[in-house]
Amino acid sequence: MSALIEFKGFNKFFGEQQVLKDVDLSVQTGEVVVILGPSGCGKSTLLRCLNGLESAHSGSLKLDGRELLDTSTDWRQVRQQVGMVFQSYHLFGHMTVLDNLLLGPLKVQKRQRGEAVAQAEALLARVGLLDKRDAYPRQLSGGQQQRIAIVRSLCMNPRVMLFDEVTAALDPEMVKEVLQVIQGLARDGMTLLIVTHEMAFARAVADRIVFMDAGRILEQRTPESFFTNPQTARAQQFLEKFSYVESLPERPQKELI
Amino acid sequence: MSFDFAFILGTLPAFLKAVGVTLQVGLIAIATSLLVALVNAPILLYRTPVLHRLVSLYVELARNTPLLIQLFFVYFALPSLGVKISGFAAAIITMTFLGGAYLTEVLRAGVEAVPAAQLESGRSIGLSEGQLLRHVILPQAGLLSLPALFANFIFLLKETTVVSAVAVPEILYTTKSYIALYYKTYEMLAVMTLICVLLFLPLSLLLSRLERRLQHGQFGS
Amino acid sequence: MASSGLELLLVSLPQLGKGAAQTLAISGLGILFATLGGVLYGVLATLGKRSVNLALRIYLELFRAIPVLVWLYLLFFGLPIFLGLSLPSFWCAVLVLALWGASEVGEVVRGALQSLPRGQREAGLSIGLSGWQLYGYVLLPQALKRMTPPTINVYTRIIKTSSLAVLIGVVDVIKVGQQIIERTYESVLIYGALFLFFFFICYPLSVASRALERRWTHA
Repeated sequence: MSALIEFKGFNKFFGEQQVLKDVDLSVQTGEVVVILGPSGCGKSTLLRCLNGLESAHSGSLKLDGRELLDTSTDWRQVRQQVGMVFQSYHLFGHMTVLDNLLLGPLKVQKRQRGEAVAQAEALLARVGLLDKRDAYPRQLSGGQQQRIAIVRSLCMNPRVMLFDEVTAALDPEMVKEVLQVIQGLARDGMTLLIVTHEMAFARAVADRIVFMDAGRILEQRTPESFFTNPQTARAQQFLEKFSYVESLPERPQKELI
Repeated sequence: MSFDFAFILGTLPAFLKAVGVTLQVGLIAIATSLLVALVNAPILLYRTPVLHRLVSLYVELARNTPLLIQLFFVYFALPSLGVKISGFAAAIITMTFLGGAYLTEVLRAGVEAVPAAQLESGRSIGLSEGQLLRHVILPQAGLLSLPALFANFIFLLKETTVVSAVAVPEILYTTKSYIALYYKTYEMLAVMTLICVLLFLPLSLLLSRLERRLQHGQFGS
Repeated sequence: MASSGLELLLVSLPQLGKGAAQTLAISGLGILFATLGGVLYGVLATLGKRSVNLALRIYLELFRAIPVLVWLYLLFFGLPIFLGLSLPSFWCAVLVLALWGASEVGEVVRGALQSLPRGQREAGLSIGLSGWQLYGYVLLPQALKRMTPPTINVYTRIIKTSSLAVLIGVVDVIKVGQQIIERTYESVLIYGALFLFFFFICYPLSVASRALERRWTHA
């Protein structure tokens, strides 16, 4: 079965600095790939190359067999197939929730309003926010906005969904509701590429962990294998930082006079 | 279409003089406007009873009417009330009237732009109101108003072209006179454009740079 | 005396009205084209194309370095020579106000668009919006509130600057006023009336601009 997404020998520079070095990555349809790595390792950039927000310098990037690093690529078409959710959700503040969801389907995909509204409302109901359809983003919490941002992308009927640190800007009590939505998508067989710092979540939802550092992919393993037995030194250092709290020694009880 | 360079060279002394007049009018207007503003701004900020309403009215009247009308009023209308003024004097008076209002606003806005947090921290370390003014408010207000002040100075310099309407021999008036006298329209327009660019473009670029540099410092305070 | 002054004004009203119509027409057309041009400028300036930005910068600095009155004379005296065009002074004035106004409005629009979070652009692109759609449905609507108060200020300046048209021969409200003065010598009255004419147009605009700014900055 050929891969849905395929990076081959992929390179990207920001000016003088090379942020992606010779990246080879294949993602199968229905796979959930979680990309981990220290800040600045290029994981977000990799995602953003997939929907054309960043351009590449050399290499190959294929979506469903079609080469995207081609001057004839119509990124508008690609973006309808590759949905992206951002850390700061970026809902359109001047529109109601429903209008946010309908903008793409109606104006880009030119679908019938009735059908688009039905889909939007069904998806809103699925994430438990149907009653907010006429609200404005500023009236909603971060967690609610992020769930709606996910629905906005889903309304385009994409084949792949990209998640770029989507819980990093949320208050802790709202992280769960968003992660549950993503888990639901994974269960339904949607192809997902997730960049996150939530280790427990990564472990639970991923089919494969991709570990990056300084623009290269260092490890690609199953979650269990990666978390219990990281092979490279960098991966070990990285995981150690996250286990810092668990591995703190117990505080000796102070003698209170 | 031939370009009469010899003629242009012949007019250079006159144009040099004209630039001098432009600078004279402009710089005097800047100075007097600043004085007016320094008197008015405290009145507005401290809300001196009665006076501050008058100053507000003055500012609104001066900023919402054209310089040309103000100029014509002073130069043409005042004589009928017995006050006879030269073009130069009318120009200075009018530009002070206008410039004073603009600069008053700039100074007022500068003081009001000092973040309240600065005043709070100043008071909480025990500064008196006088010390607060001298060490916290005025220095910061000064810095914050610099770009706007400079922008208004350039504005006043450029507005001197309007006083050509009352025969003040600045650059535009000189250009028009030469065109009327010698019909060398093409050459005179070229000279005038060149002088404007040489005079005002550097100032405008300087202002852009000043604005950019102060933006970087602003978030630090 | 005061009553004869008022009488004079009333009698001259038709004439002054015609002049005022010219002034307002010049201002109005200037404002219209400046707005259209300004939005175009602002959109072009935020496309991220270096050559476009350079061209816009040159255009902007040209209108900043050369005072509007000088531009009026350049066009009025220069167009016949350079292009063989003899544009009536009314249209010279409209053209200059439009071009100058567009650069000012353009800078406002550019600033407003650039102050929007970059993510809005990315989010819009990610759902497949085209450039036109991105600006039309997402960016410009959200920039509108930020653009409006400063743009109203530019409008006020256009209206005030339109007074310079009299200097290139347009028979606007000032010219009519001067004609009346020539006959009646009532310079204080007429210039005073002209002063108030402009004031009562520009002052409400200034107030509106400040009110909108206060209202929309806390939104």
